[in-house]
Amino acid sequence: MAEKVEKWYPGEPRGKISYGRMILYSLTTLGILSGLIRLFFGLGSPITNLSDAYPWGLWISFDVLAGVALAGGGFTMAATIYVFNLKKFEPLLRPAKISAFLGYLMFIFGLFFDLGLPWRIWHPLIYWNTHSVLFEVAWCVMLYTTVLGIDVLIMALERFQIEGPVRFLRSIYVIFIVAGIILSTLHQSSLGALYLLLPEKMSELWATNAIGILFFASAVIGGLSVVTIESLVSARVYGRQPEMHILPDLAKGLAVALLVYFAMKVTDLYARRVAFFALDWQHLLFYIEIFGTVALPALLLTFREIRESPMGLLWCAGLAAFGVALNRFNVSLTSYGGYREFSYFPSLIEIFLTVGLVAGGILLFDFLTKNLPVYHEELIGHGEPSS
Amino acid sequence: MASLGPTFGRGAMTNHWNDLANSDCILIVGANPAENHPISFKHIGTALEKGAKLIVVDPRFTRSAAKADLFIRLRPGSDIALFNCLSNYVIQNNLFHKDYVVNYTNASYIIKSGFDFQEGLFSGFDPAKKAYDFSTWDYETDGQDNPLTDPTLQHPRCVFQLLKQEFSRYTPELAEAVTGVPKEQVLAMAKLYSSTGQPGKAGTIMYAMGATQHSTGVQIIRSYSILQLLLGNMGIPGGGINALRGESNVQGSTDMALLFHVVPGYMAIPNAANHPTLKDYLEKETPKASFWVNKPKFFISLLKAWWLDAATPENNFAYDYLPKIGKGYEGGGYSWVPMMHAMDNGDIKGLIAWGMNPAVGSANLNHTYAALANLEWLAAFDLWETETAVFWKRPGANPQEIKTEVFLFPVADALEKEGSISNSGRWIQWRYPAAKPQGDARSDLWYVNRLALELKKLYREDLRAVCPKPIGHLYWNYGDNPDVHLVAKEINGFTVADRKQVANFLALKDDGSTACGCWIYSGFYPGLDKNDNKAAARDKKDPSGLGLYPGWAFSWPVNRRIIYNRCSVDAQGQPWNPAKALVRWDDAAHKWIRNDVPDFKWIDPATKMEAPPEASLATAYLMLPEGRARLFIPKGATREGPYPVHYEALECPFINPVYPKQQSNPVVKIWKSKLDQYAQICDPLYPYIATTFRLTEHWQTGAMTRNLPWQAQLFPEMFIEISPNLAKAKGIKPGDWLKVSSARGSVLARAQVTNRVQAFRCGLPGMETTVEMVALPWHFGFAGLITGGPDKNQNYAVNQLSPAVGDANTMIPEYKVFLVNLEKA
Amino acid sequence: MSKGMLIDTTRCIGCRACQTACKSWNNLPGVKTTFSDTWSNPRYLSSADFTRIIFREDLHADGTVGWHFIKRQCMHCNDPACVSACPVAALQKLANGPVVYDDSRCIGCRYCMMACPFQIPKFQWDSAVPFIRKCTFCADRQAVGLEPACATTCPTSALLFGDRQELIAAAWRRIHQNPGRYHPEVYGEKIAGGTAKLYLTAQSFEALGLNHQGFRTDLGETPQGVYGREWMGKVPFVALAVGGLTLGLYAINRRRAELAAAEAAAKHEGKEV
Ligand SMILES: Nc1nc2c(c(=O)[nH]1)N[C@H]1C(S)=C(S)[C@@H](COP(=O)(O)OP(=O)(O)OC[C@H]3O[C@@H](n4cnc5c(=O)[nH]c(N)nc54)[C@H](O)[C@@H]3O)O[C@H]1N2
Ligand SMILES: Nc1nc2c(c(=O)[nH]1)N[C@H]1C(S)=C(S)[C@@H](COP(=O)(O)OP(=O)(O)OC[C@H]3O[C@@H](n4cnc5c(=O)[nH]c(N)nc54)[C@H](O)[C@@H]3O)O[C@H]1N2
Ligand code: SF4
Ligand code: SF4
Ligand code: SF4
Ligand code: SF4
Ligand code: SF4
Ligand SMILES: [Mo]
Repeated sequence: MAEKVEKWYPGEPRGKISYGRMILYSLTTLGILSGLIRLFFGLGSPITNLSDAYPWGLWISFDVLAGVALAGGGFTMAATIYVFNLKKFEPLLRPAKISAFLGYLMFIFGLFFDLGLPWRIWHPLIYWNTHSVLFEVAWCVMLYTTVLGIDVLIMALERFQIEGPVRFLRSIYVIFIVAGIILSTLHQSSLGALYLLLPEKMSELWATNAIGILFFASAVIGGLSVVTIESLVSARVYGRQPEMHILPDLAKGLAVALLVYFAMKVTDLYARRVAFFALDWQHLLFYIEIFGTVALPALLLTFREIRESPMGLLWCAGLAAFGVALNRFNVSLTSYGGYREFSYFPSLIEIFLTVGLVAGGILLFDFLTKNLPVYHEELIGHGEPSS
Repeated sequence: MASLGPTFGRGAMTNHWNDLANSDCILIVGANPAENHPISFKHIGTALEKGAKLIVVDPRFTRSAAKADLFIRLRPGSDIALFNCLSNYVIQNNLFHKDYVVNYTNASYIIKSGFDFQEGLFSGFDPAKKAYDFSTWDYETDGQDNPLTDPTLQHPRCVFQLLKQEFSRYTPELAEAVTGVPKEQVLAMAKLYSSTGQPGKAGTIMYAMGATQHSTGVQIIRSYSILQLLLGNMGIPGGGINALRGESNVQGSTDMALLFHVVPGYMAIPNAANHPTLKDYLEKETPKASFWVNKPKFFISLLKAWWLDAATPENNFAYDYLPKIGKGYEGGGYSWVPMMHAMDNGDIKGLIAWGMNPAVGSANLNHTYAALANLEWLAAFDLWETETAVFWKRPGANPQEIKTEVFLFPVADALEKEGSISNSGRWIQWRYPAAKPQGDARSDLWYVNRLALELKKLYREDLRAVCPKPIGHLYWNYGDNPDVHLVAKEINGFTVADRKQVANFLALKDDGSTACGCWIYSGFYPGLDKNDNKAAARDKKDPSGLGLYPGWAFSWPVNRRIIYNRCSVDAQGQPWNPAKALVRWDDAAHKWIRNDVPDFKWIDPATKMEAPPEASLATAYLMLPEGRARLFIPKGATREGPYPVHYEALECPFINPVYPKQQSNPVVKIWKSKLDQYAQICDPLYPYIATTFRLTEHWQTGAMTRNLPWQAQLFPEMFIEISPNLAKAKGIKPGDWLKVSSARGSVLARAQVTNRVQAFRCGLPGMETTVEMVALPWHFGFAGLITGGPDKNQNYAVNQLSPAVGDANTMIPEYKVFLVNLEKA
Repeated sequence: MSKGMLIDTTRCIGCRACQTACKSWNNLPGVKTTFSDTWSNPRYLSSADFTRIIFREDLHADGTVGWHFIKRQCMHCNDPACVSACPVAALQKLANGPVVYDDSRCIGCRYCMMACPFQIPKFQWDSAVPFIRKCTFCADRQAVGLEPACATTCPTSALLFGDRQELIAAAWRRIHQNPGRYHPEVYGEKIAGGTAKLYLTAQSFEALGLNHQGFRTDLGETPQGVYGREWMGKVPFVALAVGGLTLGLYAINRRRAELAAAEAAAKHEGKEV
């Protein structure tokens, strides 16, 4: 293993507080306030619109389910590079790790506010139920966030040029790679498997035994598309050059993932003989999900022109990422029908907290990328240890 | 009770709760025991599991109806038409229990030739007085006061033929025209229930306020009784006519004379005009025959219990101390409604509302409020601050204008004090306190004791006291902190000389040597030790397997579980149903085999030997002079007639289809005052029939349940049941607030749209009309944790609507039928 | 022996004494309600109401009315989904029947609520320190030899407490002895793997329209928790497989890279390999 420590030279100062940041700061503040209100007054109405009829709402569907799926970039890129040996994608790895780390932080924060007794969030450490899918998710997420945290730590150590520990960590880095991939595989799919226990409460459009694998597959889509978006958007925002030399190839991978996922979905629906045609809310959202955000981007990405234009890429990746989030919404909310006569729409506090989390995440991303060796052009000798 | 007494001799549930399980057919009419006597359904359930059938007759589909094999929806107030029709069916089709009818009823008695019934009126009616001269309502006699009979039942003026003739009018078609029950259903019910007429089969009738709260209440129950007698269902296991008592200890309280017309043990209250002296009282009130010949023993023992040593033969056992009724309403004493009028007139100046809440429960509340406001003082003894205690600040009242001084005394709850409760099946059951009273609350006994002691003191000390002796000489010796066992022992009775508890009422004497607080209870506490308290007996053995449990508590009289049990066997003393024998004559051994305490003369008083069946045949109903139950009640013991005929409720949207010339009960008392207004017959201003009912989840006027959050949450708001058709016609949606009004007042209620209430199609043949019925619970008011709605300035008590017209015998108001209008509030 | 409760709804008179008894025994607060058109009140189970009676009125084709009273509470499944779901094992099935909850473990994730096929666990939404609440089968009473409060209170014996197997036998006896009175099924005998609470009804829950009021008839006989457990059973193997694959490929890649590097170096040095 090449145990060289990266040298890092800060890029152009990007510290000016822009209009965009102003908005992000205010949204984050709003989120923090909402979180405090939630902690003081509990989860009941009117703080949230959660109820016995809808025990899980926006926070679970977005912060947790969608958040984790979209943060799948970390393990996807790691697998691409280390397992499938596609080294050329290395420039995308660090940003992917940062965004994954932030995604998981967001997950944890979201969960923290969602739990009724958040101060006991650590209980799964000591109280075990190895039959519980959620137990597994809890452990995997905890461990995987730690792995991602170590990645970020490495970057931080590099930033401050503390070489000893970095060398040590690099020497055992393979453990993190393997662990990261195992953990991600498990919990990405297990998040879907949570829903294995309640088929009777779900629309048959989504209630399937294959939900775990489908979640996993769509997390790959989530990872690839977010990495793409992130590259394109950060380039735009930070005035960098987007990695157009590798993105189209990544887009090919995304297209393949989308196609595979589409095929899996269709097979599953067919195998279960699902009543596919109907005109109601659920079906409408389902059509949007499967055609608008899976089939459509897959189709578009077969066009080289689209793959090679940043705008085209952005659209396709955007659609795909949106599709993954929509799928998580659909599974956890659209599909869910415990009580027939109830409906759920998140309260303002719920929305503020989620928006605040996203805004905070972006600010953190901004902060970390600004202060840590993340982007390849800022790295001397091309970043990551390549074997 | 005013119906059962004259018919059978005692005004009480004849059988008991457990016995329902022995029935082959249970007929619930004018009651809703699933909701108001839930425990009965334990035993009904057992019967049904054994294959019994359940019939429910009610204007509304109730929680009882939900369990019925046959539900009959009849127009409120029309029971007599249905039951006379059933009796007619039984007679016409020869389904009656012939032996029973001949031996155990007065069917064979011949009625005086002057007796007549025409156009809805019996002979002797005086339209000016609105009362009957009862002289023709009597038996033909042999000249020596012995009634003439015809056991073949053929004599045209025998009771059986008279009934047969009048009831023949009540065809299924007519029943349908009156009750609104399709005649096929009438026949289905007739077929099902008359099957209990076969010897060995038992049918029971359960009734309560749906039967009594009518201006014809007494006669409604008479119509049930006649059917039961024709079918031979009285006095047998699984049979009887079971008046489901109301308040948990109402049986006990009426036994103890919490009624305006009796003293303890159901003896008439002395009346100033009729009974100026003890001699008058005893002569007039003691019949020549029946067990009541012993009345002087019971009455004098009662006087002794009250005044003990101050009651001597010389002063007629202090008879003069006893206040006599006579000033009250028409010389008849004050029942509730007359009392309200006396308060309104200023004749009564103070009221103790002891464990009652008339500001919600009283009929025609607006009049009640006026009466309460006219008092000088009002004392409420209650667990809660009831509507009555705060009547002066009710919505719409101006407290400044109300001068009544109100006192509220906190009382301990039933679970916080020791004593007995008598249930509907006449079981006296002892209870122990489960908790300490809250705050300053004291038991009722403590308050009564205090009150008596203070009064005695005042009468003793105040030289200006008028008539001090009755109170001053009262025998009152229960201690400062009264011992409830002392009270119980006095009720049981004792010998004055040596203070020994008597074994039972057979030991009572009319010479002043015994004292007894309530003769029917005598025997429940026959020794001085607490272990002698049979009300506390808890033996769970049931040797007969009939659910009699003779060792559990004490059932008055003398622990008889099923009264009139001579009728459970034939003339020869052999049970109609050998599997369910209460008593049986063993000819070989020359004795009675007894599963229950015989309710007839089974011991020859002369020889002290067991008497053969022939000797007791005529004591089957031993509290009546005839010794037989009465299909025909002589001498006006029921004031509107010797047998039931259909009259309409006072407020009614139909002309009486049976007797168009006599719309309603001819002797009903109608109050006339500014606040006593009535709808006209078929009044277009008030087009709907209204009835009031109870809910399991609430207790009566609501004080006991509206103040408890757990109960309050079950039925939080006042509502009105209306049919989907009515709702549609009026554009009413479920949950809408409606304003319901009668000629007397109005109330707000939320619409409960349900198929459980429906319109009735009734009327003279050819003139049928369809009239909607609505039903309202009466548990809501204006005080307490919940009142019945969100508006603190509303009174949600339904009795603002109901009329204070009463049954001619009991004066019970007609809570169950009146006319209303409704509109969206 | 596992205990059960036979709920013979044909015997129930809808008096709701059980509702109050349950609140009393469990010290649950009264809740503020408003008029309920069906009479059922409160309209849903909640952390303050572990049981309630559903009133179901139906109008038959011949114009007659039917009215059914159905008690609802936790079913105390033999193999409860909630127990499978709970990540911290706060819910446990006791050998004698009750499914009980441990306040001190729960993290408030509400997965049990999602998982329960009968929609039973309820959450104390209005509290800042909220717990899950549901019928306990009066495990505390059972522990000292008492029957559940609701069964003790029920005036009509509609609630029979006893040995589960014996109750099933008794239920079938009733069905056979009263043809026509019962829908021929003991709900709870098999559904979702069987439950401690067993129901006899006049009609099927589907016909009563209660399929979506917590009495699903389409649950099948497999306990829902099985799906989660099957999944968890696969987890170690998936982990090993993914780990092995990753490690293998990684090693191959690395070996190739080393070889390539060596080759390049050799080339560079002009040596043949
Ligand atoms: N939970 C509860 N139990 C109670 C009480 C309570 O308040 N709450 N009150 C107690 C008291 S004091 C009493 S007196 C009893 C009363 O017990 P019930 O008499 O059972 O009580 P109600 O509901 O007033 O009336 C019974 C039924 O009579 C029906 N009905 C009305 N009019 C007629 C009619 O003309 N003919 C026939 N056949 N039926 C008619 C009504 O629709 C109603 O369903 O309940 C006692 N038990
Ligand atoms: N519209 C309509 N009106 C009706 C009826 C109807 O069917 N329809 N029914 C009528 C009937 S049958 C009846 S019985 C009457 C009942 O009318 P009420 O007897 O006036 O009604 P309750 O609510 O039973 O009143 C009992 C009071 O006693 C209090 N209490 C309870 N326990 C104790 C105790 O141990 N000691 C004392 N001192 N107080 C105690 C309670 O708090 C309550 O306030 O209402 C009648 N009114
Ligand atoms: S008196 Fe008490 S035990 Fe008896 S039926 Fe009424 S509520 Fe039940
Ligand atoms: S009914 Fe629901 S809460 Fe109750 S044991 Fe079964 S799964 Fe658990
Ligand atoms: S809410 Fe509590 S009891 Fe329910 S699954 Fe989560 S930790 Fe377990
Ligand atoms: S078993 Fe206990 S906790 Fe469950 S409903 Fe009955 S009383 Fe309530
Ligand atoms: S206590 Fe018994 S009869 Fe009453 S509602 Fe509950 S289960 Fe039914
Ligand atoms: Mo009553």
